[in-house]
Amino acid sequence: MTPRVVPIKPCAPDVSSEKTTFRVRRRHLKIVLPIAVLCAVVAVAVFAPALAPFDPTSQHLSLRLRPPSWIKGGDPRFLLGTDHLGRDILSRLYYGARVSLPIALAATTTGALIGITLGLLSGYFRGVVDSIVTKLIDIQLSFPFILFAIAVIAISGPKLYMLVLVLAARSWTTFARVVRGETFVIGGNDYVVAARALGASQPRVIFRHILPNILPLAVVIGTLDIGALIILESTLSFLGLGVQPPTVSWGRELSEARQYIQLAWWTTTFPGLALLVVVLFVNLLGDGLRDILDPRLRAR
Amino acid sequence: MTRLTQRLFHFAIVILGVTTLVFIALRMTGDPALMLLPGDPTPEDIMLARQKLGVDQPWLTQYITFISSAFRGDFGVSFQHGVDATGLVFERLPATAALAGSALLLAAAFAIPLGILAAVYRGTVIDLIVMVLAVIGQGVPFFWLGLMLILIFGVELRWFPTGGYGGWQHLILPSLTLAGYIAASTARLARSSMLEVLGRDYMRTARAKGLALHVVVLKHGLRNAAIPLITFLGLQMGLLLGGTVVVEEIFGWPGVGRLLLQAISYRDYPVVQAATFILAMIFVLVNILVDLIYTVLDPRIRDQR
Repeated sequence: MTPRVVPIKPCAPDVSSEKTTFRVRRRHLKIVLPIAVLCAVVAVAVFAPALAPFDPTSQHLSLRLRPPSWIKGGDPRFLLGTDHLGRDILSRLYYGARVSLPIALAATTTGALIGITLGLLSGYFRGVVDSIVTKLIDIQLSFPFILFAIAVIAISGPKLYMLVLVLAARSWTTFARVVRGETFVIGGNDYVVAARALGASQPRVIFRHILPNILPLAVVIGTLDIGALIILESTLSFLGLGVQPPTVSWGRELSEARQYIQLAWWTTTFPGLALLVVVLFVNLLGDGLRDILDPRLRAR
Repeated sequence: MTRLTQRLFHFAIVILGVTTLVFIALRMTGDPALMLLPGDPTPEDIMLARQKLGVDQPWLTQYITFISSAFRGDFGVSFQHGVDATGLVFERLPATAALAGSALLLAAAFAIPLGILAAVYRGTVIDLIVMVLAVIGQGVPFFWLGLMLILIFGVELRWFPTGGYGGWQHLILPSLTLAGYIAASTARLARSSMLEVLGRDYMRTARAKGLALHVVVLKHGLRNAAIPLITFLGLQMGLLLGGTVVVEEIFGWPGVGRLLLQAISYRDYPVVQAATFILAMIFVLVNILVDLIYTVLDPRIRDQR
């Protein structure tokens, strides 16, 4: 076996004691439910064409604004009712999952790549790089982001890649800030100093010794970030600045349903519930992962 | 005094950066002349309209004119309404201020006491309830919360109007929606900063010398926990100002946010610029105010100067 240069963080408790074993298991239990729920959501998104009883865009104009099937006047074929064009709400919910999740994931990944890179550079080299990066973060944090997003998208036109870029612009600061702080700390550790003394090149120190120790933290930030980005995406779509029809998205759905709120509560209730459930469980997963991967953050 | 000047300098850069960004973004696509002219305009009509709007000049000229007049509060005349853009924004400002202010008060009035309770009774049912509420609150898209409030209190119960502008009844649902936007994170922060303070030696000393729990928490604790909380609320103003755009749109509230959204769809450059500039200024002023409040609350910062 080759010697490991990267020390394992002493976060895994002593497994020999029965009590701690139980505690570890209980901590792990916290992420089982979120993972199960999110897997179900992903499955629905992937198999939407097979699962959905109707095409999400097919209109049944004689069956407009039908209530959910369990309510008087409901049609048994439309479990959650129909919208103002007689489209099946359940099918549209299924298809909506195919939009919100990938967009948020793509945006978080882009944000993570930018944020981690800048955070590593500024935490490792400090000096000028650091002051530029911190200024950028400061400026970004000191402006109402949604205004910026609205302005940029309204002007560039609501294109999908612009949406992802704008969301990524929101997400990189979180990564950069935390990674920068961690790099400061880890960069001062004995094993990093030792690696440098042994003649390791700077890229090697950064990527082989510092980065692996930051990744768990990045996973936690990323997960917590996805929830926020899903909400932001749906907000922009709600304002008509995000996903455009005929693509189905939960936020867009809500903005169309809004006009019929007096007539049909189900059209505004269900897409929002879908959003709530997904964001809630993404956040719970993030909290659970944080407890497992980074015990130091648990206090907050 | 250096700290304050440093902050002022920082904020000046922020405002300049934001306005520059908006300026560039606005000119990336779309011709306002085309948006304004009805029907099929002739090329001459378009040329004339461009000249009248000043958008026929090179970008750099437009930018210099823009920056120099922006700091005089002059953003030009609204393309859409034909009146002074700054005046339009200021006309709408009281409505937005009422909305954002009452939302901030509501959020603080509910979330901070709840957070403190959760911290003091850590690990009990109270803590659990507050934390569960906070976790759910962070998962709720706030515009949907607004729709649900309309549905329940406006459509079903008919307690409050579903939208529009008027008496205090009109203010309730929009400001609840906006308060919901920041309440969950405020409660969480109130809890964690109070928890940190509760563990301090001076708290134990205060209890040991016989002071009642509520005196210790409210006098010794809150004063120390307030510092991170106030910074946080200052930064939340950014979210609130952004959130007003969405909430005003939902409730038909005639504030700056709605003006801004309309101006964006009409490419009404002067109004968009005036609105973003003024909103950014408000945000900056609030944060300078927060800095000043600090110094009152925390002698350690005061003495640094």
